[in-house]
Amino acid sequence: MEFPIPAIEEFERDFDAEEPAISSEDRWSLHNLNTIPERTKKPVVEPILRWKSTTSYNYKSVIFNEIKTERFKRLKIFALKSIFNEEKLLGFKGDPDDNNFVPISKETLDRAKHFFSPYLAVFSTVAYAIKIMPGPDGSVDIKWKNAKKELLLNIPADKNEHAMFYGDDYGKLSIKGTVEVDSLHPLVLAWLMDS
Amino acid sequence: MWPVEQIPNEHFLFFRLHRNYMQFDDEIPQGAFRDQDGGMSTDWEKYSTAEETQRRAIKSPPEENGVLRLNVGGVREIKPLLVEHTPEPGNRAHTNVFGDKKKDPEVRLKLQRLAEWVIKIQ
Repeated sequence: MEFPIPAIEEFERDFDAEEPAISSEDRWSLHNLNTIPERTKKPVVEPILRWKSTTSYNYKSVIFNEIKTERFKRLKIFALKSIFNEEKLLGFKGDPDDNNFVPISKETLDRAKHFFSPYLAVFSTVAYAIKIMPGPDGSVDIKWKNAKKELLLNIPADKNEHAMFYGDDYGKLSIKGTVEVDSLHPLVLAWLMDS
Repeated sequence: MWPVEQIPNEHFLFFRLHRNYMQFDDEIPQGAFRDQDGGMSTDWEKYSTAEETQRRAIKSPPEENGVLRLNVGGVREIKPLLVEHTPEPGNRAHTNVFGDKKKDPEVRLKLQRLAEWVIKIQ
C-alpha cells in the first residue's frame, strides 16, 4: 500500500474545508461569549489573537525618595556613632610614660568611618562583634570577631599609606594584605561574609 | 653592666599596660603592643616580678597599671619577632621584643591572643 504525500495545495484545501471550531468557553479572556463581537469569534486555532488580558500587573518602581534616604542616613549615622566612640578615641592619651605617643586625629577617625560605613549594611546578615580601638602611632584599629573568625584592620594615621589587614579562623585559614581606605575590598568582604 | 643572656622559650616576659588602654573594651587592645625606642619593652621573669614591672611606671601610679605575661616561645613563633635580653643599669630584667608591630596587624593580633593577665587593672 502506498501513502502518497499530498501536495501543500491539497493539504490547504482539505484544512479550509473543515468546520471551524469555536471554543465553547473563552478561557483566555473570561469575557462572556455573548459579549464578544462577531469579528473576534475566530477559530480556536488562533486563540492567541483573541487573548485579552484581564489581569493587570501594576509594576511599582523602587524609588528611594527623600524620606527613605534621610531615614537611611540617620540609621547609618546612629550605627557609626554607636560603634565609633568618637569622644574616647579622640581623647585617648595612651601610656603617660610613652614619650613618642601620637594621639588619634579627627582626620584619621573620619577616614576610618568612611572606610567602615559601606560594611555596615553588609554585616546586618553576619554576626560579628565589631570593635574600634586605638592602634599604634595615632592609627585606628577596626576588629571583626566572632566564634569562627577574627579580622584586624589598621587605618594608618598617614593618609598616603594603605590600610593593612590580617584575619584568620583561629586555625588553618588566614588572609592578609593591604586595602585602599576609600573603597570596599572584595577579598575582605568575601572573607567576612563566609562565616 | 649586666651580662646579656639567652632567654629560654619556656620563660615569660612581663609587659606593663596603662589603664588608658582599657577604656574601650574588657579585651586587651592590640594597639597596646607597640615599640618604644626601637622595641617593645618587657621584663624577663627571671629578674623581675610582675609587681616590680608594675612599679616601673614613672609618670603614673602603679595602681593605674596592669601587667600581662607573654610566653617567650610563643612570641618567637610570631614572625618576624625577636626576643632579646637588653639589660639596663637599673633593670637587669629588661628585654626587648624587636620586629614591626605598627604596620603588621597579624603580629599585634597574635600578641594579644598570647597575652595573659597577671595583675589586672581594676
